[in-house]
Amino acid sequence: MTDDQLIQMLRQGGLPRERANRFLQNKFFYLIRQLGVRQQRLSYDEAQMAFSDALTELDWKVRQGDDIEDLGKMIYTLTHRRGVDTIRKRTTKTNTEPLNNPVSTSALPEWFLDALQNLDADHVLSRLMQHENEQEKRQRQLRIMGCVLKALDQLPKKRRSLLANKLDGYDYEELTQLHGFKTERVAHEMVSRGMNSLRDTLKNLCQMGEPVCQDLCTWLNRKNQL
Amino acid sequence: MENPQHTLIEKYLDGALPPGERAAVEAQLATDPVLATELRLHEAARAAVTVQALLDHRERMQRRGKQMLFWKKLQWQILDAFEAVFMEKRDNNPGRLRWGLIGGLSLATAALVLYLINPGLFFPESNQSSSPMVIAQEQAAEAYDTYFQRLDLRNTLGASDTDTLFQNAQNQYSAGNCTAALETLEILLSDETFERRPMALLLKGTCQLDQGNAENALETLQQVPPAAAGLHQDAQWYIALVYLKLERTDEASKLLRAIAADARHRHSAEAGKLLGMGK
Repeated sequence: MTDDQLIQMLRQGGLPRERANRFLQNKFFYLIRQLGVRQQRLSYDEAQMAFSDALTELDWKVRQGDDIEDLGKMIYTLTHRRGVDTIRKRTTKTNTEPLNNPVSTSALPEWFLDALQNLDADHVLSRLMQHENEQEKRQRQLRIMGCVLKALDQLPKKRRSLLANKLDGYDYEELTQLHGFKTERVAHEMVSRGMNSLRDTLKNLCQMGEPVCQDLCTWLNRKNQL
Repeated sequence: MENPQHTLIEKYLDGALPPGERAAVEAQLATDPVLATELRLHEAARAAVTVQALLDHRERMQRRGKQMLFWKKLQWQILDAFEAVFMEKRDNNPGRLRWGLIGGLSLATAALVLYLINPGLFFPESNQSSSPMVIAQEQAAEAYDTYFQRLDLRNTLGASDTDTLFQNAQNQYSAGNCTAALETLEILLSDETFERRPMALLLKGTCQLDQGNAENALETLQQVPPAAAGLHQDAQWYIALVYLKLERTDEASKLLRAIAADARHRHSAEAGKLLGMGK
């Protein structure tokens, strides 16, 4: 498979995206040993985590429309960066847990926040996470992520994964098979209900004055349109 | 039932509305704060699902990666171990192969494989001894009749023996007159100082066997001392034939195998043939 084909499959979403990811994981799995273990002196498990994160990030970048010329080079670069993150984490304490939210943001890697921050400018997360002061920006990112994770945490795991699959590009026929619904109509109804409960949950968090949701709620209740 | 307002907002966010409808929604948003809040709520929920999708994808990749790593790690660790043995480590340089060690081990492996395929290449005698050759009970008589013959003394008779009595015994033996030969040999063997005792014992034993007196022949032939080298080997051969005569085939087979396995034994080839009779 050529890079162009793989990029096309990743952008297509659903099952083609799964196949492309599997292909890339098999093809570049050797990086765990060559780069992570041998060059960066990581353990096999650490190197595997770095490699998986690199693939996740690559998938994210492709889906966001980033222009990638050489997938192999990009995977190498990202795996190297995630390896460096792992080495840094060993020696420094990261300031990623200043919040009192039950759903911890400390489990999220740094690149994760950056990836969300670098969504296209119109995206709500991108807009909400902007701030001139770098430190305040990071705090805001963490608060917004904390609020989002808290809202997600109140939904059953199956429902969360159904919504994520829908966003990942699975059509209703595939969702019906994947989640064992009787008909496509049921799948459609479940997605619709899932989105409704997520919105209700966000609304409730704002009504209860959840501190971690302060930024998000202020934005939601603005008088003007955007 | 789906809420029509929700459907409209979703279509708007998806960019799926025709230009006219889109403009109408935007005009409404500018004047309707409730609709604007609802739109932002939809956006926030979508953003949350985006985060969830990213988290799910990461989890999937890590889970699959862990499964793949389980076997790959084992394979890599074996490779690491081989590399530690066969590569000479050098600072900041790729290691150099230890060709001497690789060559030596390759030769040893090749030799081992050859030995496993054909042990006879290394130990020729083991080829014969390894075959489970035995004389069957019913073949004992036939084997004895085929292979027994008295010693051929023509070569030894070339030079006249200084001991006239022993010369007589040999002449009688060669003429097939075992009865006379046995009497003469008995006289010779009763003399403790007689020097050619091993040869005399051999002649006596084979004559006794020729006359069908196998038990006595066995006793006589067993007296031929190992120090008599070639004569002792002759005696062993005749002892094997005695066993056949007595139909003691297990002992005969065992002794014949030992003779066949010894390439320097003067009856090695005959023993091999005899053992091969039943095949």
